[in-house]
Amino acid sequence: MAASRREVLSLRLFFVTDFVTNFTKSVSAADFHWKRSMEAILPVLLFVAIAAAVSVGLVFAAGLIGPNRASAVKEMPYESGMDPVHDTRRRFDVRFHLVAITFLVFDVELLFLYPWAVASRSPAGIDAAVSEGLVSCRGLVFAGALLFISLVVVGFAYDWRKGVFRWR
Amino acid sequence: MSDFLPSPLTLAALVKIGLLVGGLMTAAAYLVLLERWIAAWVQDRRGPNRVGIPFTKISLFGLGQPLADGLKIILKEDFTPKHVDKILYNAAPLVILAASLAIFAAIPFGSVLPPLNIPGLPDPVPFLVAPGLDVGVLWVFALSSIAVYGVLLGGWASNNKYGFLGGLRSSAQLVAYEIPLGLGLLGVVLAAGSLKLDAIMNAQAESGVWYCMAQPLGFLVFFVASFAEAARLPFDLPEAEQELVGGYHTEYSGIRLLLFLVSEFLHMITAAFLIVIMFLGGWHFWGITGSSQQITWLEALLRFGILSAKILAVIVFFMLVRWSWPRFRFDQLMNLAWKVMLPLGLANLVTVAAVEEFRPQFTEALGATTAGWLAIAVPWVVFFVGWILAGILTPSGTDNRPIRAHDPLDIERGIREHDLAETELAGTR
Repeated sequence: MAASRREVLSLRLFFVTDFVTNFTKSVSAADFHWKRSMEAILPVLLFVAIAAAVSVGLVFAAGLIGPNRASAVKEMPYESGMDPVHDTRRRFDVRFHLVAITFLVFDVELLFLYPWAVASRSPAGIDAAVSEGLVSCRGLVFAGALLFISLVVVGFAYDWRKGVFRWR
Repeated sequence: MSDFLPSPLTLAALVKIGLLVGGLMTAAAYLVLLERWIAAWVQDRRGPNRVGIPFTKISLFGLGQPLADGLKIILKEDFTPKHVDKILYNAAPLVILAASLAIFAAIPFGSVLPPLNIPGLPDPVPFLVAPGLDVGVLWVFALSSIAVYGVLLGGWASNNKYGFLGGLRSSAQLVAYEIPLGLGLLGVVLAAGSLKLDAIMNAQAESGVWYCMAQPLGFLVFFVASFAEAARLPFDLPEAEQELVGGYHTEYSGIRLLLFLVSEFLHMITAAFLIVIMFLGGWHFWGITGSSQQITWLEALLRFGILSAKILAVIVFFMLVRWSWPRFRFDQLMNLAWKVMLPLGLANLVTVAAVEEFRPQFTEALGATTAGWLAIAVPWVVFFVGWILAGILTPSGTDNRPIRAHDPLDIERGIREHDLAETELAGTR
């Protein structure tokens, strides 16, 4: 049986009002959340601004107060009293580059472990997820974390065997 | 009218920031004096003891020295050499000082105040600039990484060989020790279940077990790594005076050099704060401070005093170590970071994770007391086993002889050997 025109209209109206109320609710919730996080972040921003102002102010004040007498010798690079030899921008040991790459890999892997570490024992973490049925059991999460750590260890052993950490 | 005034929360944050910045700058100045006194005591000579009130004979044990030094350095010429990269050269000290000050946005410097009943302020007021920041530990970690940028920029922009080498070494060292540092942090974060430093202190106060007892291996790793991050002896390779003059700040003078030196001391203070807050119980001491959040003025003062005393003790330890141990060689430094600290840190993480994972089961089976002791005993066993294994597996720690082994990175080796074989062949002909 086809719905009457009036029923369709009322349904449509219902959906529209429902959508509007839900949308405003979510927007106000987001607004509330935004306000809360602004309240949390504002002191941090203030601190960064003040720290920057203090350091810039110190340099500026010293620039105003101090003398300014340049000389040819003063403007040379300091090399223990010798005339400088060669340019500074030359090739350097590639192992510094390797350290940077290895650091990047391990640091990112550590960052992946942070959410697990925080959630592991906090009341709103894994236990809450288990009781809500989002995760079947704690052991699974623990095993996953251990698997991830063991992958890190495998990568570490590979790097060691390849001699990435050898410096002499 | 009230719209133009900042909210009580903002005002409270501003007051705390003012107290912290002022206190930290003063502390850095007077720690220099303390360090010189300790150096004098260790070397059996007189330290700075003359400067007191100007134009009088009153010397006050030399307490005027930091003020005189500060005044003198501000009156010095603010000089930028011609050969440097101007923008980066000027930015480096600003970046490093701003970052090392702003770290303290997430670091608590006490417990809480008793209820003040000021409208608009939540009670009790915490000793923390940004109490709503959920990612405290990550903020600290991130800003201490930005310090690396200051060092690297300074070293590179100086266009000086000492500065360049110092910057390279320094960045490699800071970057290498950031991983053990992060691993040490992870164990604590896992046990406390929060990234907030005040929550970490509260967790230790409530259980009465400081994390240096529950995670000795993590404590060791974090302690050594924070020495390296603060670039204190025996890890002061970035500015090894005998080799690199001043390292990355060779070309700096006057106020910019002061900014570098102040931020170095701030790094040490930060390291001491972190060690105390995360591993030595923060403001907690058994039988004195209590552990609740509802406290009296006396208790608030006591907690602040205990936290400060612990931090001062750690800083004095830093200074005593400086005058007791020689500097590492660079390969020893890298060996320690990658081949000792990283595996030990991983071992600590896995141990702590396993202990925390199975603690409820053991509490059910053995009772809370036995399970609690077991949770302390297991990490200590791992600590000693790890220490001994690290000692056995890295015997080259004190070995000074160069290793003549095949270096996989030495791509010219094959060519050299080829040439050698050619000449030998030519000789036999």
